Amino acid sequence: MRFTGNRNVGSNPTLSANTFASFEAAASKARRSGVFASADEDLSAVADNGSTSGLEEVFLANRDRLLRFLLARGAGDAAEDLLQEIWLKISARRTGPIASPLSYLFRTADTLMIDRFRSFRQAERRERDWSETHDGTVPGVSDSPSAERHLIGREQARLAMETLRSVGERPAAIFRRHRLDGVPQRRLAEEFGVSLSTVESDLRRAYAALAALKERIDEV
Amino acid sequence: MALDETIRDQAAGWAVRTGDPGFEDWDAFTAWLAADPVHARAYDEVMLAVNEASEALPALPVPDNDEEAVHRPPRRWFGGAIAAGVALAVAAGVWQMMPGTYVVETSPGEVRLVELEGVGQIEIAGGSRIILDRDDARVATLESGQALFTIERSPFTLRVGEDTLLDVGTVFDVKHDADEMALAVSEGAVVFNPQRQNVTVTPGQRLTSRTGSAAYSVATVAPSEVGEWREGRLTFHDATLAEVAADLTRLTGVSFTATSVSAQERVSGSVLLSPVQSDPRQLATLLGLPVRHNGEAWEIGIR
Repeated sequence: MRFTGNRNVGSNPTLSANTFASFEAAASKARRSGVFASADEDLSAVADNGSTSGLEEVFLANRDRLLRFLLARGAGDAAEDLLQEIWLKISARRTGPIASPLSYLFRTADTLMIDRFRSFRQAERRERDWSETHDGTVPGVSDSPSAERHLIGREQARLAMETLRSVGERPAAIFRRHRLDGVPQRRLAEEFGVSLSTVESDLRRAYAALAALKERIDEV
Repeated sequence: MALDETIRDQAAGWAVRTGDPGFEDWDAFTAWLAADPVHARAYDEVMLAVNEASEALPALPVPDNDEEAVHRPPRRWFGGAIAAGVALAVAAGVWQMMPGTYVVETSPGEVRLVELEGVGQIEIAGGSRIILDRDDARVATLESGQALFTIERSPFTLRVGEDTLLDVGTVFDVKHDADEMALAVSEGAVVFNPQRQNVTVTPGQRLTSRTGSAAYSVATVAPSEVGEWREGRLTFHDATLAEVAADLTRLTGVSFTATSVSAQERVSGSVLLSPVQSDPRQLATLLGLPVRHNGEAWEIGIR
């Protein structure tokens, strides 16, 4: 094999140790230089040496805003931990230029909360499934929950499809293009020959209908 | 707990707006959330419902009528013909292994970092094979396996089987095996086959396309899952045990296989690699299936 310039990536512990080290360093640097007063200066310094995308500085300058967001978003006692998690995420990886760093940070926070709610719900469901399936099954024998789960998935898909159709063919099609094909809303307005606000309102009605559907399913 | 319909509509409106990559008005969103704790709950419910529906829908065959045809890929011979044309055009560069190209190969369980000078870096997972070009750091071919690409200066073009991925400044993960190509984006955007389907894959999305087919599907993926193998974790969504066994073998260097009876069973969940590496039997508890060593590999499933 002929190539140069590669190296084996270190094991995990090293990686996280480095991450923590950089956290300490950057935070104390921020305190020393009074980053809240001179965020712009720090930003330009970082942009110059190109070592980060400026996310870390934007994070430090907007920490309180992000905390307020997380609290409003329902994070409660976990808000500080989540902030820390965001910090680790942004300092652990070097990314390309980000057009809007602040928006990126808010989005990261929002996504963390979305994931959290999801795992919370899944844990709830697992607990319920556990107590249900542990009635009358033979220990050590799989009662093929995966096949069952697969069926449930298809059933869920069918219900979602019907619900979207009931909102209308165009909202259903716009939903598919946006959520499954990842086409941005602005481009969908062009594609369907409608205004951006019509795309938004179609999606809003589709989202609300799916939320109502899920509520009905969960109640069963 | 039933949601107030007005609040649900408002929450749906916010979910639509925050779902747009260009959304900036986080202060207004914060203000709405802070006005009533019920708002955050409603937003969560809407987001979960929409995400679950988006993940479930690809399981259904696409209806033949209406605009679904738009994202239905061109007939196979058509895509194939164009692919052949593209292959012909680049044949001199890659397929014949010109002097400038070289191969980077990892053995199962190994992770390797390759710097692409002035372009970015590639973290290559175990059991992978990548062709690079010494004269042009902006092109690469993933022959098999998996890698996470961090591209700081676009454009960068990655060929995967007969597919072409054009990166536009981004972090993305690609997995390629005999059956399938899977692209997951965590930052920026990647264009899937710009000359053919021309699909833009954005952060939080995962595009899969079966080998030899122009069909593809897009689902959502938690950004934290993109390239998570680097952190020693692997998440499966409705994956067959055969896929799980293949991925685990590649990433841990320990041989796994699925029994023929269980190979097509589907599972979902997250696995930490290092405990499995040191004690493959732990998988049994995780999957609720027998795991035994058959002399050659760790066999998962019922015989």
